[in-house]
Amino acid sequence: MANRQDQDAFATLYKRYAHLTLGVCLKYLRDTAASEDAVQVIFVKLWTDCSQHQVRKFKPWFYQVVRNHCLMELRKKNPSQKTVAEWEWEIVEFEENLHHKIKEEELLLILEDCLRRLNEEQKLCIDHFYLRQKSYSETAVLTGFNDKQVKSNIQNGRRNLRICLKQKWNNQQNT
Amino acid sequence: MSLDSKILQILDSSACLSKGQLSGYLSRSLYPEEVRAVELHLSECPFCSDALDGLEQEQDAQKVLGNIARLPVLPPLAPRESRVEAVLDKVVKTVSPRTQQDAVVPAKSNMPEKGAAGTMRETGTRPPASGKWWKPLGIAAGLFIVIAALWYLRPESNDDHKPEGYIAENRSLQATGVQPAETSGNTTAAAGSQPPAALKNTAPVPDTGAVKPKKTISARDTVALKALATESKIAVKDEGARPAANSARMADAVSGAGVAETLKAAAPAAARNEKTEEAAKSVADKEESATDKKQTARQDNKMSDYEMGVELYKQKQYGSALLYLKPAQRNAADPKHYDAVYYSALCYKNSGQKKKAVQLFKKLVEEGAPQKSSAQKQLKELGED
Repeated sequence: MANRQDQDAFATLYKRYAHLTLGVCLKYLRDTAASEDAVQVIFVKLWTDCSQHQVRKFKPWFYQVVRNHCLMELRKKNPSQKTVAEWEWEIVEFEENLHHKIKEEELLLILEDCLRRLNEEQKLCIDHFYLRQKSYSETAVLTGFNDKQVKSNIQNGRRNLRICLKQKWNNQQNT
Repeated sequence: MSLDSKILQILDSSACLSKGQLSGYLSRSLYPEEVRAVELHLSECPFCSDALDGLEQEQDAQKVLGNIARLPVLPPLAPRESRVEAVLDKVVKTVSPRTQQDAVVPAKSNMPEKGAAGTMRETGTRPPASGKWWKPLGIAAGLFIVIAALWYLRPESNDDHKPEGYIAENRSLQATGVQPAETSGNTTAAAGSQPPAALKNTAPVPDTGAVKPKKTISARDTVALKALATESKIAVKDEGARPAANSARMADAVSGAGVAETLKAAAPAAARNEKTEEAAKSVADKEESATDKKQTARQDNKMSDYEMGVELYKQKQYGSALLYLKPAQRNAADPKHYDAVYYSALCYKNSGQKKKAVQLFKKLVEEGAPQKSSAQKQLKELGED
């Protein structure tokens, strides 16, 4: 019998991520019943196999587990299915430790420079969403993109900014 | 919000969306501030963003979200070395921060979901059930402190908290006007062997009024009183129906010697002992009823009444003197009967009740009392032959 405290921790994780797991499964599997089954299987696997893995950051790790499970299910149906790009581990860790590495003034200068390097669509969406404090729908109205395009532009632009930040940081360290 | 802080929002991170936030965002029922917070998080969290994409595909997303309330049935975990190592790693991680990066369990992160990872870590480092026994121990300690405080703060004047013997002793002492034994000084002194000997300094019965009550008693008296109180307690248990007699014995110990002092001129030792017992009994009866006490005192203190009558006669308080002399005057068997009759006659004579005075003087003459000659003289003075 497992420790009661482990059960409590597991219950907390389930409460925090079950609905997100279901949403991700719905996105990939496009089937409600299969997604609900997948959620059960993923969490049971988490319970039984958690101690076999080295987990530094639970959320990126668990997101990867969910996506891999969904892709495995899709491959069972269609072996030619390609894998989706994985989470940028290095960038995530870099971003989490950024405040320890760069001073705020220096960070602002680098960010402004990186913003200028984004393509126009991403730059426009990020400008409206972050700097003008507009919502997704307002940004969509102002830019003429649909909601999904706005969302995608913001997420991709953000990812590009992080990549740019890391490159500039590495250049500074090398020089 | 400044422009710099707005730019830095790009790098901000927040906690993953809750089921309520996700559901509210899908149903567009959130406030604008909540929508802004959700969208800021969606822009930096692919997990939540993918989840939202998946739920937006679902037509009845609210119902689907409501179906995931229950935990899955967890299979029992077999004890494995890997689990033991995991637990050991948790312990080592808390002891040595350097080993934290290599821990098997999720480490505490700076990301918003640190609550989840932190829960795993904290639950791993907490000593299993080691703190549970503190709760009853703490409760017991608290109760003990409360009881001790109540005992310490109890009212000092309340006799209910004191031993029974102490209460009886105090009552008897209060009846005789004597302070409790605790105030008498050396209580460790040797006990007196006999109560009468130990009670030489005790106060007399207030009814006699001849001697002023003393305020204190000696340590020897205290010990003797305690012995008597214990004895009386036993007697009450055995007999049950005679508490007054027992308290009278205690009162005898306190006041008997004082009464004897008033009678020391004439009474023999045996008679004195008897009288002191009776005097003490009157004290005990006084506790029960004032009227009963007075009657008992008059009945039992014949000699003292006679003496009181004589004293009052000398003080020219003839009415009061007649009251005290009356018992001995009426009782022909009393050794002081004729004396009482003579003094009563004198009282009547001096108070102007000639007929009664003559009647009593004649009685003395007719019966050949020792006061016959004196009575004849008085009769001559009153003009009677």
